[in-house]
Amino acid sequence: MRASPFPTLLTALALAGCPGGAGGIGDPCSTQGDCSSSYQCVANVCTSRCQRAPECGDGYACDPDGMCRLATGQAGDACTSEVECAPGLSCQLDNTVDSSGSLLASCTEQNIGRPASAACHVDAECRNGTCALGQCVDLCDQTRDCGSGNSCMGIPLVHTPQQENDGVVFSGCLPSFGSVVWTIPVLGPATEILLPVPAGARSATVVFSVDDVAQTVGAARVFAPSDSIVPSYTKPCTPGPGLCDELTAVDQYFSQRLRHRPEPGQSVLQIPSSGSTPLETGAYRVRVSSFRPNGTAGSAIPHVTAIMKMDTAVILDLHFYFLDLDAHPCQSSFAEQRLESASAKASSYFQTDYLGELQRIFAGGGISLGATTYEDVTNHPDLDGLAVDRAGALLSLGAHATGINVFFVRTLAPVGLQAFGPNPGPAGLGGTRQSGVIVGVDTLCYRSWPQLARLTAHEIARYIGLYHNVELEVGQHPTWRDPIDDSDDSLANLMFFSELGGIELSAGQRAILTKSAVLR
Amino acid sequence: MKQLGIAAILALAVSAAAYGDVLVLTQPVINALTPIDSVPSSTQLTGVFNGSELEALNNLRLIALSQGSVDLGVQLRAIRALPQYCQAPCATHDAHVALETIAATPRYRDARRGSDLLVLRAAIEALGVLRIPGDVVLLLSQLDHPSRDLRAATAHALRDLGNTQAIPALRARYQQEQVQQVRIAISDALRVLGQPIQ
Repeated sequence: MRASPFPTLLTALALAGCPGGAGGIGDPCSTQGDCSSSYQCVANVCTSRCQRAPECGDGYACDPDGMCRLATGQAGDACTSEVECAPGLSCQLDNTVDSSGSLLASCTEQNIGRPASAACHVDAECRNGTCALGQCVDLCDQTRDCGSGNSCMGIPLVHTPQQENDGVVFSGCLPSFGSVVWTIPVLGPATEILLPVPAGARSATVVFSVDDVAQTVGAARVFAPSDSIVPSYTKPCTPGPGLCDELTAVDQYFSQRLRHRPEPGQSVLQIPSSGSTPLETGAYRVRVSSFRPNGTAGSAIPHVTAIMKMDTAVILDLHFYFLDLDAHPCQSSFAEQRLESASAKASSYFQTDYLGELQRIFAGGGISLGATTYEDVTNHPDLDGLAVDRAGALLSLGAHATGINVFFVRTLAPVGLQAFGPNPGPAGLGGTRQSGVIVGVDTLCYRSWPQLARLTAHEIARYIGLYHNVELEVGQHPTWRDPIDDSDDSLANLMFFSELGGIELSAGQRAILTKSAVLR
Repeated sequence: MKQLGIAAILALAVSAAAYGDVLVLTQPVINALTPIDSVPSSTQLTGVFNGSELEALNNLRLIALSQGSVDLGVQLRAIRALPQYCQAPCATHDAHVALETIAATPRYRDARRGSDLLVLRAAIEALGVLRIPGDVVLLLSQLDHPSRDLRAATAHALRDLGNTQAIPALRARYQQEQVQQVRIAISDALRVLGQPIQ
């Protein structure tokens, strides 16, 4: 399964004879004693000690002393890690469990297929016979068995269609950092899927979409691995005659342990919604469905993309897009210039008053601004002045998968709407009808750049996964607030719904932010 | 920013007198009329005005007509909220009269840029939502406005109004319109009004 890094060259060097004593890298050797203590003798050549088994080549393990050890497992022998099987064999799951419920695996002839970390849909596509989270995975006992940048972690077994033993956790190699993104096949308009959450994941984002935007799409029900009878989430009822009233629907939305709402065309489920309902290792059972406007089952087959964030991060990249802002009525706020990529890059109002304030606000959340990019969108006059029901057309132009795409439009309609974006957004996914946030530049006719920065930050934080700390009606409806335990009702909070709120964030809010696939 | 917010709220907490009524902007009212990413519903607004639709309407009308004594962000949302309170016969209802008044006030009617232009745009948007056929004359008067954003908003309002009397003027404007954003808005209005561009 892994190509050996010690082929012909090493053999040739070995034939040249051993120098004796403390051999350096590349010197021939016949025993370990021929090499310096910091090296090892492999295939008759002194070479660096290993840190990870893949450095030793197929059929080798890397022991705790940094020595490559040839594996001895033969076809049919039980194994738990790829490094136990001899060259040409791979450790593959048998899809059976022992008396303790652990999945069994054995050394098996390698498949003609893709190497570890390559994209896959089914096990058979992988050389080593295991496809998980959309990538070929090696079985492992410890992180030393995995390639650089990967860690050995528990991964729930999942198949499409579902099979016996799905949900049982095995140990495999997955990336330690960044995001893992893959699509989950959905076979009908209403289908149960399994979302495998590995032990190393910090957050999971599931993006549901349908081609027919007249239908809503999302999760109807979500069972966490530890849920037995009561799901973590059940879709709120649909308000309407003979269905339920608006208040009941909103109450149901706020009462869920996981916060989610199916939406037209596309919606996002992000886990966790708060620290009190943490992300669990195991297979989440998610009932995915399209819906008609009256809440009944739809006919559109959902597309599902999962994004698993494997680390916490603190760097936020911002990608600014400028629609045609020529001759804008609030032009006095940008020095009577045209606001576009070039002027934004060079002006103090944008760099200092706006970006500087954004930086200050996010610093309070423990987040640093990273790269900023600037782009003019000159060929979409239909989106220059944007009615909010066309937001999807604009946000689809948000090409960047990491960071946030921020669009500046001339006006947002209805008047008074200052910014718009999904809550939460498809973190880690660009080019979707929710891939970014929109800021109306007409706000600058009556607010300053720093104030525009605050409302931009508010909208970005909603995209990342925070909710309004309280809703306007919290006095009458005490549950209408965010699910985070330590955020209060304060107007000083960044997530206060009004443009006159502050920039404070609680520890619980900061924790949610840093788990997002938006950050790097 | 926290300080900015509080200062702004203090600035908003003024009383304005008009029509013999006294306007009191309480904190909940200010909050309801300054959401970033949503449009306040009539349920929300009525809620912050003690559950009284009449009180909500009267106060929103006063805020909408405040001409600078109330924060502009609050005023814009109040204008945009008025259609939710217009009751039949809407053409003679206070909510509609307030919108007509704003659109006809020289300060706004003649605005070419800045915040006054936003107030005019808010009134035009709101008039479109009300769908009162007689407003076509008022709206058509803004179809040649120097601001492209105002022309586009007017075209959208005429589309929403649904009065086919606007078709000749829309067609004429389309023929001379240079800004693509506005041409698209006009063609959309003509499409909805059932008339192809000729």
